[in-house]
Amino acid sequence: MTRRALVLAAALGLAVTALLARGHQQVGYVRDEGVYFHASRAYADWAARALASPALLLDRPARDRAFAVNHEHPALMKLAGGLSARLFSRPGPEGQPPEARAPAGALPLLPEGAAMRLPAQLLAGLGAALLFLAGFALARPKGHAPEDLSVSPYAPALLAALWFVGLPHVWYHAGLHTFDVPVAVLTLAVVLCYRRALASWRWSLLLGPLLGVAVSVKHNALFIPVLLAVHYLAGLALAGRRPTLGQLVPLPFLSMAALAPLTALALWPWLWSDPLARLGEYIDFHRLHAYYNTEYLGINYNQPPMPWSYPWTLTWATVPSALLLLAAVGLALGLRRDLSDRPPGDLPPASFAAPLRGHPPRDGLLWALFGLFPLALISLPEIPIFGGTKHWLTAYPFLALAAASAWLTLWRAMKPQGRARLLPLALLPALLGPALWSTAHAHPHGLSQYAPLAGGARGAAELGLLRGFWGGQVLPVLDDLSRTPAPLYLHDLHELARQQYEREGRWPAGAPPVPLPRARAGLLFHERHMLSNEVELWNHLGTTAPSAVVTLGDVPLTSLYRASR
Amino acid sequence: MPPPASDRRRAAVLLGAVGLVAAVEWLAAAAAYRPAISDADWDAAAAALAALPPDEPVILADDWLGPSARARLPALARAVGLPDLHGAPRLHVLALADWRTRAVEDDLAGLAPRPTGADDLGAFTLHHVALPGAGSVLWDMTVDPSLAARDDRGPCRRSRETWSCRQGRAGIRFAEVAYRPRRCLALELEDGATLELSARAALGARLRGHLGLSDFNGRLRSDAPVLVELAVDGRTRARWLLSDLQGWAAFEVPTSPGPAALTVRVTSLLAGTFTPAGYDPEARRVPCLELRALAEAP
Repeated sequence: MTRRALVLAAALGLAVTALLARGHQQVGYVRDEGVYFHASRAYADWAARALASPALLLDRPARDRAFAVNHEHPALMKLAGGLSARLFSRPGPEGQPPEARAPAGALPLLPEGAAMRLPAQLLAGLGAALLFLAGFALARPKGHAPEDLSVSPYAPALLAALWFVGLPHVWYHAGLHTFDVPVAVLTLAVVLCYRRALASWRWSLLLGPLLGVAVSVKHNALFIPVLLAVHYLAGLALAGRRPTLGQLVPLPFLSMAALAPLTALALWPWLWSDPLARLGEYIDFHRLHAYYNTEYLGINYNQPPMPWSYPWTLTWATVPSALLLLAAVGLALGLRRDLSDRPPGDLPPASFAAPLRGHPPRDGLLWALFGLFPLALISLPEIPIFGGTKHWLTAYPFLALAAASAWLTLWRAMKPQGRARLLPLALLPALLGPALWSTAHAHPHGLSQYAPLAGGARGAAELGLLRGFWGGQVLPVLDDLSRTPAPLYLHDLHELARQQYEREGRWPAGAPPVPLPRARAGLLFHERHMLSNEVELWNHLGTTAPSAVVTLGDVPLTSLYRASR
Repeated sequence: MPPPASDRRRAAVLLGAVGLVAAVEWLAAAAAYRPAISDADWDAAAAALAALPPDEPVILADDWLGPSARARLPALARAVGLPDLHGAPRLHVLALADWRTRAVEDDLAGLAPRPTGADDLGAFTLHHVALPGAGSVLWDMTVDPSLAARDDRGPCRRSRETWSCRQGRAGIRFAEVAYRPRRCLALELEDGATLELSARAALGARLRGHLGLSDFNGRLRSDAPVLVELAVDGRTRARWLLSDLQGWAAFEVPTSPGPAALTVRVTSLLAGTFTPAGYDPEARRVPCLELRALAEAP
């Protein structure tokens, strides 16, 4: 790794974070964020008080009061968001009661909600930087002299980073105060750490705590050690030698088994009391998760069996096909290489601390496991599909690396000479353009965007694919509501998300939230099953014509209705 | 050592394939990521729709565009919630592309449309269609001011488009049935209660109606059915047992033209729903009914 590559990776990560921090101020708060904002304030308040008075750490009632809020998800991102708000939040408007007004942070740079989103955005930047470095390392592996200089290492580096963060759905989720992109980035970090841990005790000792951090972000990370074990066992099997005792009880896995749970426990104070019962409750919540409604190819699903094709079709419909094709080529080439590679004859002796030192890294298998497992899991007919693509974003960093590897391998096979050596880098805009165009075009409604070959949002609407599900696409109608305020039915906008606008002075005065029977105006977030709510609005307000409609590519996403009588 | 020629060929083919797909995607992006409908297109559609005879329905082929279209084209409001296209001998369909979409086909309900012309309005095309055999509407339950109702315990009290009964209430309104809006008589009655509707009506060749259950969750579970009985001049002509899964279920009986006394009895056997914990009477499913007398086509 060169110093220049490190500097460029850091610059890319910071640029991604800065763009998200700025751009996502135009992205409305989604339902779950409303709850997480509320939880973040409670957690950060506890942390601040505990910092001032450490005895509070042992005060179970105080701890439980703070962390009972949204205890179905681990605390780390919410705690980070709350602390970020204490640092960077701008004060809310004067004249509101203190509990309904954002307090000023130490360095008031951002609206409170934007400040809470910042940790997730920093992690997205870290993800871009890690992918850049991992892509770079494909061309210049650590410890190896560059074998082939025909392709600039910046080509796979940039491709890996932008393949991931340049996708409209990844970009949209990357800026939110939620867990999906953070857990994808931490999964990548754990996997990259594991690669090193196979040959280094230092990385092994880091691996356990890092997995604990990933688990502290979202439960997706619980699958990581299982997939790593499959990869490790495959590596042993493909080596074609009898494993040593040290290889059978290797340090990386001991580290994960011992240090990850301790780290996760330390980072989630809710589990400090009655940990087994609360852990069981947490697992049961996700194992028995409710089936919300979602539309797929014109059919509303809210109970199993769910269609197995859902994640595959949605991935095709939201990720440009050239990028998917390149990732598929990368997986095929990587797997072919991994299945034929044998360790060299002069292997150093295997040890407990470096169980696969000198073995081929078998990256193709690693990418295939982590790139395909999340989609395969969602394909199971009992697994809920309500979250759209966000539930398998953890796959995308590995598909990005597979694509970068394919780009490198194919161009190296071409042996470009002279100016043609610039082609792998120069052609990246042509390759990534449709994805970046898609992301830019969709902003700030990236959740509703679809790939060019799916026809964008319009094509997806014709195909009967969901337009959104989170009640966040509301900011444009707030202007309309400000001009003529009225008691408002919020529909799918979460009251806690609305309160966040109010805390920042962005909610129109004179538009209190009310139940439908008392409303003189109403929001409607369009989803197939939400027509039930829309006709109730028509009946109550006496009109079928919205006064304002938020659209993406002509497709209505949110409507504002006003009473006609 | 240079790579073997076969490797280079394979790499060139794969890179070419990726490049070709990317090139197609650039073209597709240019089409997908530009607005297809301009303000001028909306204005042209509004002017064309305003010029249509007010008694001829105009519908939107592209369901997904509904909210924007209703906001920009007031004429579309006339046809929101139509039960189907029977009774409309002439029809106009505003479409972005193909006008015979699934929603339009559903509403044609077996009618064979005959295109009579089309106007190019920019992004939109306004298709004019004749519907031989659709007949015309002689009487419509949802707009009859003399429609009377009673439940098992006596007559209901009418106020504009709602009826207050001892065992519940009924009202003409929009309801979501099978993910489509329908204007119909929504019945919110106690379990097992029967609502009897009566009217004097000018009959034609047939009585045609629909019943559907709102909302979608009930349909997915398929709970208890609803019984509909139809009598003409005191004689029961038909009886239907309709369930959630039938969606917006159509029914029809032939009639002799002329004035007649109509009676429709609707019994919601169980209005609640079944859950893993047992029967839940609070999660109400609302049966919604419409009935029209249709003359044959002129």
